[in-house]
Amino acid sequence: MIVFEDVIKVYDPDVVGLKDFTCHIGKGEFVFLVGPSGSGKSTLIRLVLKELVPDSGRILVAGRNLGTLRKSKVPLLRRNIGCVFQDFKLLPNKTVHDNVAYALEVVGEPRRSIRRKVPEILSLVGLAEKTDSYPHEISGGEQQRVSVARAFVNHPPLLLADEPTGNIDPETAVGIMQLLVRINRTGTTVVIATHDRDMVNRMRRRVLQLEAGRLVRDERRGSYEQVTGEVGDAL
Amino acid sequence: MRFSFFLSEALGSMRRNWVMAMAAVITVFISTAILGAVLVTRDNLNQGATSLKNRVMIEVFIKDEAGPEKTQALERKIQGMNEVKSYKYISKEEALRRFRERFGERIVANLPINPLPASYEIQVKDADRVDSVAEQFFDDPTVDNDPGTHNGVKYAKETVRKMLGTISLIEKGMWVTTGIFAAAAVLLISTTVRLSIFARRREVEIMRLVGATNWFIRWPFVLEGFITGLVGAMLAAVFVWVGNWGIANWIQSSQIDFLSLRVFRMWWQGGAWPPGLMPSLAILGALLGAVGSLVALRRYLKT
Repeated sequence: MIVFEDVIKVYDPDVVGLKDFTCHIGKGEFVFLVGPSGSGKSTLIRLVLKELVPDSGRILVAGRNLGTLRKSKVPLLRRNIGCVFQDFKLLPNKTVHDNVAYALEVVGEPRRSIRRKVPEILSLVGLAEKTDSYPHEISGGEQQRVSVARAFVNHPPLLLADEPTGNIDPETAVGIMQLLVRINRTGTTVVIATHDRDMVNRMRRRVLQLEAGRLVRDERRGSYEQVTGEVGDAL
Repeated sequence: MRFSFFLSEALGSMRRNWVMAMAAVITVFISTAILGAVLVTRDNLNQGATSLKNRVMIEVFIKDEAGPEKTQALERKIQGMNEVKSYKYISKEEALRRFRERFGERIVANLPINPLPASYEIQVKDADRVDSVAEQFFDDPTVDNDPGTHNGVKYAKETVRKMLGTISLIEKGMWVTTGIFAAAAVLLISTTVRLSIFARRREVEIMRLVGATNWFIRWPFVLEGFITGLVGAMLAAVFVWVGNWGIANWIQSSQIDFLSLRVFRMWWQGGAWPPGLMPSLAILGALLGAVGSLVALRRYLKT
């Protein structure tokens, strides 16, 4: 689903984003990106969205080479990628319903199917009652669920989440994670950048650890920190 | 795409950001009202100048003893001149009738004979050529000159020339003023639009993330600019029109209309602006709003 080959991204003046980064993420995988702030997690996500362009290297998303993807096709790429952010990125002037519906309006979905799909996905994320509320009227956890609903309403093959639980309390975070797991079960590839140690340790999914722009660990059923021999023995 | 969606997006956002929308409408209103006022004034000055030019007249007085043949010869001479737009023969009786009208019966009643000469009133095509036309009658023997003078030919020389000069200067000034105010209107409106879009740049960013194409994002903003410009400019057009109408009425009812120029003219009477001032201003405002939005959005829609 996502292929990075020797990708280098350096910000001005020479702050490293990603360095010689190579990785493959297969269809239907559930992957955590971990690492300290500034290690390149967000850079990776923004590269996949073609919000950023790498200085060198190749990036393939769903078989398409982003380097040769025309500017006018970028919106089409993004429609196939659901996005969830730490700060939710909801349109403040639209109701919960309209925020989700916007993602469908954008792809030219007929009104009839919008009327059907939005309530469906909102009840899936447990927000059927909040349809007509505005983002500022609901809690952070609820806002994040709206954002997940918006990301998934098109049933994209890929869903990216940048610190999705960073701004919400641990219990609510579990709910969000469960939602993402359910989305993953429908066949959608899910990539989550996170600082949430407990979550990663509990879930035991594939972990990609970044440090200063390099991939330092790629573990099948990983935990948040690398478990070295001694620590493992001590446990 | 879906026009009704774009329109409801535009109207919805105007309703939500109504303070900003009001500010934009008022900005458009003020700048186009000033522009409209300048245009109306220029238009009326133009008309004033034209009517003044039309009033430039040469009077050629005829000797009483000239007789019909010589008078007719003079008439043929006038007819033959290219610069002459029209002429009119004023007989001695007509001259007396006019005199009586102006100064009253009593003075005329005491006159033993009619002392007033017959004359031709000549209108010239081009007011600037009055001199050369008048000169051609200076030495005509049929003309009622006192010996050694040309007082048988009368025309407003210096006054008219000065007035025309002033008017053409004012006209030029008005062109400059129009330009300045048009530029000011464009700048003011585009700044206001840019401000309102800056306040919503996050919104634009989110739309892009969800995969909206640039035009999908643009349309609501362009429509919003269009509506704002249209409303503001239509208010301005109505305002200018009512002001124009009020001043015209006031001038007519008071007696300062001494030049008997109709100083103010309504847009429907035609003028410098072929389709009339109101629709022109409205279209101008709407276009400014729409184009302003497009330009202001540009920097947020770079991929």
